[in-house]
Amino acid sequence: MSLMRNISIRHKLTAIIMLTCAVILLLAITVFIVWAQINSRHNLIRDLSAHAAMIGDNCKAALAFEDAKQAKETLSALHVQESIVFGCIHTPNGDVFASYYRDKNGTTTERVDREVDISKIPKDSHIFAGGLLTVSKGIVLDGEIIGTVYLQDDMRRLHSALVWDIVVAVVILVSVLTIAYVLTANVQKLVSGPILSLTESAARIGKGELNHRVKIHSNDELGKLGESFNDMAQKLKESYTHLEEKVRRRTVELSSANEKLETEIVQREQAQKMLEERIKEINCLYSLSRLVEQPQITFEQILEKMPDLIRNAYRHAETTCIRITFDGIHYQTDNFEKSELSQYAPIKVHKNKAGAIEAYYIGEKGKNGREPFIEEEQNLLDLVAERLSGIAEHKKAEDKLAIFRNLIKQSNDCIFVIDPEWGRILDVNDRTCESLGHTREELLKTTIKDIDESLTDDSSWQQLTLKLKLKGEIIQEGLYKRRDGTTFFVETSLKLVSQKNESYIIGVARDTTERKQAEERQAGLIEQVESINRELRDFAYIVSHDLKAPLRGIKSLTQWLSADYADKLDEKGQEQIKLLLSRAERMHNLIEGVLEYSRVGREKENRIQVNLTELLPEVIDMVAPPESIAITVENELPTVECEPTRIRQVFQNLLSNAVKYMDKPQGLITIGCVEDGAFWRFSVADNGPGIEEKHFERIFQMFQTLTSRDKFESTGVGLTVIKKIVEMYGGKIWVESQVSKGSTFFFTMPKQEMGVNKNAKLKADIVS
Amino acid sequence: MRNSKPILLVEDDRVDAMIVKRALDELKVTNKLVHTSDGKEALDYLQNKDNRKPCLILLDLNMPKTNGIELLKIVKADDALKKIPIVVLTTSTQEQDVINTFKLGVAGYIIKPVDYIKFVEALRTVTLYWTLSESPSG
Repeated sequence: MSLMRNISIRHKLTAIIMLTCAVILLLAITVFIVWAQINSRHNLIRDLSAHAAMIGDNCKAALAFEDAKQAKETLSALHVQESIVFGCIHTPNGDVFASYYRDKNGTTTERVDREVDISKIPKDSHIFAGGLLTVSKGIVLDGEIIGTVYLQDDMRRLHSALVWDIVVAVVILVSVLTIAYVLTANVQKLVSGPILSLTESAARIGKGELNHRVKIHSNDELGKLGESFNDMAQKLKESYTHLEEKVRRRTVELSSANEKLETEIVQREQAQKMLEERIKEINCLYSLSRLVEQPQITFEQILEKMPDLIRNAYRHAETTCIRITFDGIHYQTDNFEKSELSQYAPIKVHKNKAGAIEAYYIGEKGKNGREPFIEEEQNLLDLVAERLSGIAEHKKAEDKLAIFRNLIKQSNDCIFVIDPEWGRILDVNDRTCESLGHTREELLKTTIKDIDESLTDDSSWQQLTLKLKLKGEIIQEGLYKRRDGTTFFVETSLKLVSQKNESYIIGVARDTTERKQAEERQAGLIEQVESINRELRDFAYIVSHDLKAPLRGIKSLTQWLSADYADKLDEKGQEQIKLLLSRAERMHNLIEGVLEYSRVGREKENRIQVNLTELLPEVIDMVAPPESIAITVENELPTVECEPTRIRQVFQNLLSNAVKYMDKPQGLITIGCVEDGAFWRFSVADNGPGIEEKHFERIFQMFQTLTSRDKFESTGVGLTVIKKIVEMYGGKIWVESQVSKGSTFFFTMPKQEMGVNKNAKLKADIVS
Repeated sequence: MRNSKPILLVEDDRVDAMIVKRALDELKVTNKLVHTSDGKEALDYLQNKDNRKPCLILLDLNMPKTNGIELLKIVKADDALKKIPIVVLTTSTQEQDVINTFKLGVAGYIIKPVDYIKFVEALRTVTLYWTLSESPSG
């Protein structure tokens, strides 16, 4: 078929017609030949059967008389028919009765052909085999088969007829086809001619010859086609013209748009440049903002970084230098150098000038006659200066705030802020978190009511807030609950603070657990001391009774001995009795001293304002110094709040001692008092024998005397009692002395004795 | 003393008892001095109908067995005995003892002087007083 595609329509038409003729002819011839053959065969079979029947008839007699010769003669008559090559007569039992054979040369023989086993051919039938047609025919006599005739034909007539037929057919075919070719060659031009011309026209129009038209030869379909083609070409031409016009117009539009675009690009580039300048400025301001946001950055660090940032924002960054001055310190770019062309912006802190930003142009002047600095750059400088002012103010405030914040953070007290309405915790310091065992985040989700054990319900909270509103500040003791459920004592100070229309409660809580514990410990100690005191009192009682009773017995008995047996005792005996009495007396004094000591602080008197200036003369009277000793009060003595008996005891004992041990013919005892902070410092000075420094401590201990009791009768209790009294009032006692020159006893008393000084009393008790 | 009734001394210390006896002798007090050495013994004496009730009881506080305070309580609760004046003669200087005994109705409270002479003086005052003072009869 591909072959057909490339062949012109003219040849195609010829080929189609020729092929059609050939096929029809071939079909017709073939049918004719086949038909002729079939006909010939039928004729052959019919002829041969007729021959066989004829022979059979002729041979009946011969068979009946078994005359083979007769039969043979009959058979030999077959030689007239050239195509019969064999004939025979069989008896009913199959034996050959007579036969006839013709070889190729036409000579008859009696040879029996073995190629076809004729005995197997049924009676009255035919068979084509071995290129031969064999026919059998029964010989019937009186209704009895007496033999069978077999004839064989070599079908030469048939073959020759076929050959002849084919030859005729070929001749017809050739001649018909030749005629057909000649005819078509001329007739096909009627059809193919216009088509070819159309094709050519189409090709020409296709090549652009739009004015070319197809020539119309006929009114048939081809003619119509040509007309249509011409119409089409016409329309094509019209639309082409229209299109051309359109393209021309569009081209004009395009070129104007292009021009516009080019202008725009130029403008855009200019704007871009401007924008880049602005971006530089914005970048500068943005960098500044980023710097400020850095949490640890100092203002100085910001100032250090700013000059470079500002310079980079300038159009001519390379030939610009920047200097920031703040608090007298310069921060500048590396290339800093002053020049005539400059810009300037002041930095103000709280409206006072604190510094400035300067920009100098250090490049060549008069570049294109334009100013190197532009207004926008001045604006930038102003903006940066303004921003720096703000930062400086802010940083200063922040520094102050940081100190406070640090103070709060580092505080050893729990500090927190509460919302006065619901008691929500708004902020806490680290110490609060630590003490309560909560994280900050946890605490910010809780209320003070969850923490403070005393605020168990809303009504107690409302009472508290009401009290706060009335008083402004409350200090109270409470119990705070930790995260693990344990509690601790606190002393909380709550203060209501109003700020910008909002109220807060600022709480400061101190863990007083230790103080509480100390107080408890102290209470325990006091209890212990009191129990010891009770024991001591009992002891004093026992001493007073049990020691004094036998002493009294001893003394009485001695006195009786001395009185009743005076005449019987000699002088030595009397002396011994006297010594015995004096020792018993001393022992009595000692016991009394102990009792007196134990009485101090135990037997309480009301404390009253005692004017010592009035009291001292009485005491001096009681001491009753000899005329050789002068007791003087150096200055006016104050009024102190105390038990009159005790203070009297102190002065009396000190004065008695001074008088008792005085060793100078002119004794001088001076009483003085000076202020010493919160205390009065009293002094009792004498010009007596003095005390060695090593005894300064010892003399205040019980029963310690520095001289023989035989020389100076003394219990050694007096100073101990004074010490106890002074310390009970919270004062101190000590001595300053120079041997042989005199001693000065000092003791202090608090100016304002507000009630009983528990601690001092305790200390005195423990010491005792 | 205004009558011849005995003086009852309740005192556990023999020497102290001797001092009292000697002092009363010295003061020429003729009343018989009955000495009992503790509260129990004193009570036995007082509750014995055969004994004459004393005109004065000199009572020590600190004694074995029944002490002075206990004896006081019993005596002052006894209608037959509570009229007898009792003077405490003790070594105790305890304020509390003074208060307690006066609450129990003692007639006096004398701290035993250690010195015998002073002792005699103290007893002289007591006997003088009770010579002057009326005392309930019976």
